[in-house]
Amino acid sequence: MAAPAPAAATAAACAASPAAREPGVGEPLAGRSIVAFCCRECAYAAADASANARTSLPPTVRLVLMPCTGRVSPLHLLSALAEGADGVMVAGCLEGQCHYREGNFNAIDRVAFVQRLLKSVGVAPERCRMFTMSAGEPPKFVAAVKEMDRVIGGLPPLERSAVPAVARGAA
Amino acid sequence: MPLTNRGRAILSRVPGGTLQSTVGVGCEIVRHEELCVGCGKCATNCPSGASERSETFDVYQLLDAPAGSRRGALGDALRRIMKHAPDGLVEVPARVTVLRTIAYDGEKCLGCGTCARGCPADAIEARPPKADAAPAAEMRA
Repeated sequence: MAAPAPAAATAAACAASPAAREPGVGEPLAGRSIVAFCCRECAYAAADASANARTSLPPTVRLVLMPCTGRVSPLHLLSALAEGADGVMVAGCLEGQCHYREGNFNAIDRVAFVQRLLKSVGVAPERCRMFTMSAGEPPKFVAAVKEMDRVIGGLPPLERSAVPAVARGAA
Repeated sequence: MPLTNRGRAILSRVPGGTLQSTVGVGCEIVRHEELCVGCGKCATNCPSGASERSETFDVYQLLDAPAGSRRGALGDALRRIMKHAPDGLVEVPARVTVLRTIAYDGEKCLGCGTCARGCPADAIEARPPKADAAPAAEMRA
């Protein structure tokens, strides 16, 4: 275990190539990455409970805490995909049990809209999905993440054009 | 503003149409869809029902939107992951309110210009009637 560590350190130190830049927050550990937008009232609580129970999540998932899934806009979902995520999932409360009454209904429709947008430009709509669960169902959260991981793992990596987002602003 | 000949001709076609608070009837309405933010103010302000929020969305409105706007940011994100040009219109779910294309019916339009005055994004242009104005291209030059 001690032998490869100095080699890796020197390699990282001497290589100034873009491939060796430090992994950012959004950089995937494995070959793929999934961003999960979680409602604070239910899905994030379920994730917390599953972590307390020492249930392991797939290493590909990144949790993003949202006050309510009604806060998730199409721009969150699309820019996550554009900036490096291979899949995005929105995890909210059960239908009719939103803490803010109807935030999760808004999220369900927005996710459906983003899926149609993705489909119309030739991207698999399964890359964006909505899950609902209650705070007392950590196994359901883990199952949702694993399901998402399995689906994304079956898809080829999402190709992105090299056009930087600021190119249009500069022109 | 007195009624122009074109305005009079259009008004005669409207059953029971009267001039209320609409001034300058007969303007030519030019919509710049790429600037539209989808607020639907033109649809609520329109006295004749010529502008309406449709149930579909044209994806090109995102791709053509100016940089720095909210739709432009969406378009930038979409442009980076898209595999091919968007095919056709997208059906919009009921709770997505802003990302909708405004359907404009030139046949119903009175040319009053209320939509242009109320548009917060300056996406609608009301040009003076053609009969008593120079061609629009010269006006803009």
